[in-house]
Amino acid sequence: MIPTQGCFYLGAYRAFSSFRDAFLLIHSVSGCSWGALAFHQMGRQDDVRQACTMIHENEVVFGGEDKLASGLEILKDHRPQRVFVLNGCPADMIKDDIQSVIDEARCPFPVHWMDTAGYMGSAREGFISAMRYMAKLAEKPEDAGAGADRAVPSVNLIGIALDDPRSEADTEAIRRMLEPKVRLNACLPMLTEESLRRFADADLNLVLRGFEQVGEDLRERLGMPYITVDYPYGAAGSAEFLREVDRALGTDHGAEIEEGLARAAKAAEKALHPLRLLYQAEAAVAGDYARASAMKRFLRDEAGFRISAYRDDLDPHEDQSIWLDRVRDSGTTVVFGSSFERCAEDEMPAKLIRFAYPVTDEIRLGYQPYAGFDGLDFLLSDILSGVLSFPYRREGQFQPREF
Amino acid sequence: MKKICIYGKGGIGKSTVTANTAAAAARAGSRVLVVGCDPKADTTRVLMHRTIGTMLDAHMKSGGTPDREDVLHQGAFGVMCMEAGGPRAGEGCAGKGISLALDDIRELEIIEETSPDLLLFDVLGDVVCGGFSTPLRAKAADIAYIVTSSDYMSIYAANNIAGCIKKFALRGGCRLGGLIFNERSALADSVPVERFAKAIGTRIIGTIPMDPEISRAELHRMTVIERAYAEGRQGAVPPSVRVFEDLARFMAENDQGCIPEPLPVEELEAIGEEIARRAFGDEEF
Repeated sequence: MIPTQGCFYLGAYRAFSSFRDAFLLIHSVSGCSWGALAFHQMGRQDDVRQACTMIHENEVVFGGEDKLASGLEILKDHRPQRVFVLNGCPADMIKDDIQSVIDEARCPFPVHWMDTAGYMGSAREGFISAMRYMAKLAEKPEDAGAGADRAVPSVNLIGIALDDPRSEADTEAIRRMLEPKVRLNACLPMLTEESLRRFADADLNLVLRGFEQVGEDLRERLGMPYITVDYPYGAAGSAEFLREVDRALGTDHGAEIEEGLARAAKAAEKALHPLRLLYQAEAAVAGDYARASAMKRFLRDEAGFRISAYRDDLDPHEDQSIWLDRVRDSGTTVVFGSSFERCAEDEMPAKLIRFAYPVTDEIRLGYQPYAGFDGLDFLLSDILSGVLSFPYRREGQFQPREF
Repeated sequence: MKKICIYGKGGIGKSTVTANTAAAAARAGSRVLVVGCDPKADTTRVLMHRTIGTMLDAHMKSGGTPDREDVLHQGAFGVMCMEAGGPRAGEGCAGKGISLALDDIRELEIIEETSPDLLLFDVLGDVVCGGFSTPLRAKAADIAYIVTSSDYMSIYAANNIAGCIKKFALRGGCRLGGLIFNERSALADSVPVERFAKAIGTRIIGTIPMDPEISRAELHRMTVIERAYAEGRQGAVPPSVRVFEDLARFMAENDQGCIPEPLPVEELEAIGEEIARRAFGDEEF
């Protein structure tokens, strides 16, 4: 099992399902639909916007086009604003003529299809391909800029999926950091019909590291400039994020940065003793590249951890059991990962901080970001509370390191 | 550019028609690309004088889209040759293999880079599954030709293929350009083939004569075109050569294709009875 590798379909599903006003029609076997939904739905049980054509053996033998056509007919009754058709491996193998079926269905709403057969690549590749597909839906409005407050520059944020843990809270934290000097215009793939319409109106795209190809596409097609930014974890990460925006837009968040750093210092002072105890403790990090690389930097450069093991989805081929052995052998204190790293908590005296997709065993309601200056409070609180609650901490086995 | 695919019952002479038409067109000055879409990978043997490595073998070896130079070869008269290839007999899914090979061709931008005047897909036997219909779909090929003899089962297969072409033609895909009648049969009779062609809404665009020089050339790993025009060759040009030259001209110029209307089995059976009446004088069925 290699969780960071996943499959092309799963990554594409994550992007397309992030379009809040869209409905998904999964043309595949039920497992493709159920599995992706299970990861998506755990933290958002009020958000089920998908159906499955349920390919069975008969469709593999006789073709699945009739079932797809039926699925589209049924969807018409639900009057969705937009539909994304995703196919799993079987529909690609039997070469259903999906586009023609969609054309013939003459749906009174836009229906988009991208070949998302799982074996076409990793989840990361599927996620990026789907984001690139969605980016093509953005068009320059004829009345570009009309009505908008042009005195305030605006940005789009690219790379956070709806089912990423804390996606909405992190986006809100980033919005709060930027505003009022810079307006957060839209997010990709977390779009709505309304935000899609104004997407191309932004002055700058902020592309999370690793998703530059999406920014390139938008630059080439719509002339939208972009900068690459790191996921803003920690005070230094948040400050750097704002400085990058300022450099690109000519804005000045100097006062906000100063205030944020002061808040962070104050928070650190409150928890100085346990923070000192954790200095140079080992931390392992696993997740998607955008988050994992930024979290590693925060932990190493700002929180004072030593990174004992690291993996991301740029090179996802290491088996999960081998990765966990590495973590186990390193004497790691805190593991930053997804629910797939839960056994680190079960089998080792290590605390798991769930910051990467998928999180299926923790529900966060309300505003609890990890990103931005606001997020630092929650992140530090979770790390420290987790470590302090170790059983062996209570038995007096947890000793501070020399520093 | 004319994008053409050749279909027909297994063993009916599709590869022979494809390779010889390609050679004739190239000899006349056209840039020609031939893509063999059969796991046996035998379409281009007579153009290359050998069997060439396939796209899918290269795909397996490289673990993804292969390099262009590993899959694109130049044969007789400069005809550019590729073989999709496929799994070993009795294993895997050849149809998926064909669609994957065509994806690789797109990925490598081979058609854009080679910019052929004539692109010929030679597709395995009948349209047995979704994968083998890939060339018929929109943007892959524009016109399909079906090779058939006057054997009943060959016409039966042609009718089946016509049904598939109809489906995709109605969706804006490939249309039927006509039938190519191959006389290589114990019952070489054009009348029932003409009747069938008319009934489904098309016509015979060429008749390949029973010419032993075709088989002889194949034994020499050559097209009959190349062998006929080989330096120092004595004697008259074999009759099949002119036919392939005419076919090449026709395919290069023809833009017309129909949406065929396949026959119900009763009408096919009636054609079968006509074949028997004409060949054997049978009246009772």
